[in-house]
Amino acid sequence: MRRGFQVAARLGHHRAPPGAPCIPPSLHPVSAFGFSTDTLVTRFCSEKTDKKDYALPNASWCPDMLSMYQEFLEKTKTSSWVKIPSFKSNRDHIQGLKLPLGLAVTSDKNDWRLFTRCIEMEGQGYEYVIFFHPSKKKSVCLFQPGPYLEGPPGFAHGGSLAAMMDETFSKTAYLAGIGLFTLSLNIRFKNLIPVGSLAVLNVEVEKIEDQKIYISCITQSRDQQIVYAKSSGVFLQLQLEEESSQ
Amino acid sequence: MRRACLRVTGRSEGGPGVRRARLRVTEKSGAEGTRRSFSSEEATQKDQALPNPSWSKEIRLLFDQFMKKCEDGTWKRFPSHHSRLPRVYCGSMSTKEELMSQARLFTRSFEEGLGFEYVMFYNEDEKRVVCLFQGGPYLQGGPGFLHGGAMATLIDATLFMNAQLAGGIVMTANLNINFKRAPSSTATSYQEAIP
Repeated sequence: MRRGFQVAARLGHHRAPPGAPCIPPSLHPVSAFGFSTDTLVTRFCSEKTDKKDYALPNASWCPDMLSMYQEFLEKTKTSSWVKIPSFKSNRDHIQGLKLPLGLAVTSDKNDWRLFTRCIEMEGQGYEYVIFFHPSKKKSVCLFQPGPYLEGPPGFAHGGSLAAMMDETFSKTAYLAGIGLFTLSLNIRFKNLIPVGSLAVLNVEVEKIEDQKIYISCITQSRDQQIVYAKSSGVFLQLQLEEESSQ
Repeated sequence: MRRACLRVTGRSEGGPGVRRARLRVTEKSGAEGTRRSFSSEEATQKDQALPNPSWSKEIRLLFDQFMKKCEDGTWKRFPSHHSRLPRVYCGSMSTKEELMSQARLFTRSFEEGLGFEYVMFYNEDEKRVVCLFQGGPYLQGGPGFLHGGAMATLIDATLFMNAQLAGGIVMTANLNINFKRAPSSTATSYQEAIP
């Protein structure tokens, strides 16, 4: 019998209330596991933190990225978009919560870094910021790959874009319905992204069904004239537990 | 030792074909890139597809097994460097040229043990590439787990090498990955790309 994610899915099912109504394959405003999207967003974007937010402009950002950032910042004031903070580790994002028993990996090490925040030097690795729209369950990621992400000379490595897509999917799936683990990822590459230029990832949750979140993305230039890649992913929903207070 | 199965299909533009990869995961019990300037005098590039102090027992054992297979010439090891050719610029550089002069191959952008520790072997007759991979703490996704994108990056790199052997200059057109199990972020894994 296959283990791994099937075991995780069963763990999740144990926690669903008995006799729960069948959730239609649409975007349900309240996840099957008790946290609404609004609650998740509020908790995720709490200002009460001393952690450094890496999703803020710096001197390495190209003019396109800066101006598009400003556009979306305006939208956070006028039309319900939310800027998602970005910390060095996902542990910092789920403070106060923990993975279900049997999945959590404990360690006393503290040198772990989120892959897309692995290179701290400004402009050398991943420069990105994600904006999320809670009711539409959409995200936009502004991504500028640096020279340490190179694949073909002068262009971003396909794997670096794959990771950026997976990361944007991951944050979107989490806020839309506690999607935690990638089950599948399908990417169709169309054009190469020049190092140092802006790529815009438009992400949308297609449906939430059978404990899975189906999500898709188009990565384009700012003017949408060049399509860099199209992708889709499926994420497994799981319930996080509150950490018991000491 | 836990076993996991990963099925990867990839198609290269150099020619048709489906590449499959199988993944076996074993548990491991167990610095930031600095700017370097390149000049024609400093053109030495270290081959990073060789054991270093950060390698676990598991990956060293697999490495030794494959080096033994190389003795009769049926298997060969791919050397690997953090950039291709030294980029030499004369006079003052524009911002873009300065940016490009610092370029590094993504999978070799990390200090020892922090990111991707990997080595690839290939068998030209069987058209097989095997990648031994140990993830470091800077490749994290969910707390304690390897980022799906880091896994996708290595899968892409392995398939790329195999496609390049078959068809010369290639680029990834389609990458499709079904994840079976989340490896811990410091696990050793074995990937195989076969036609």
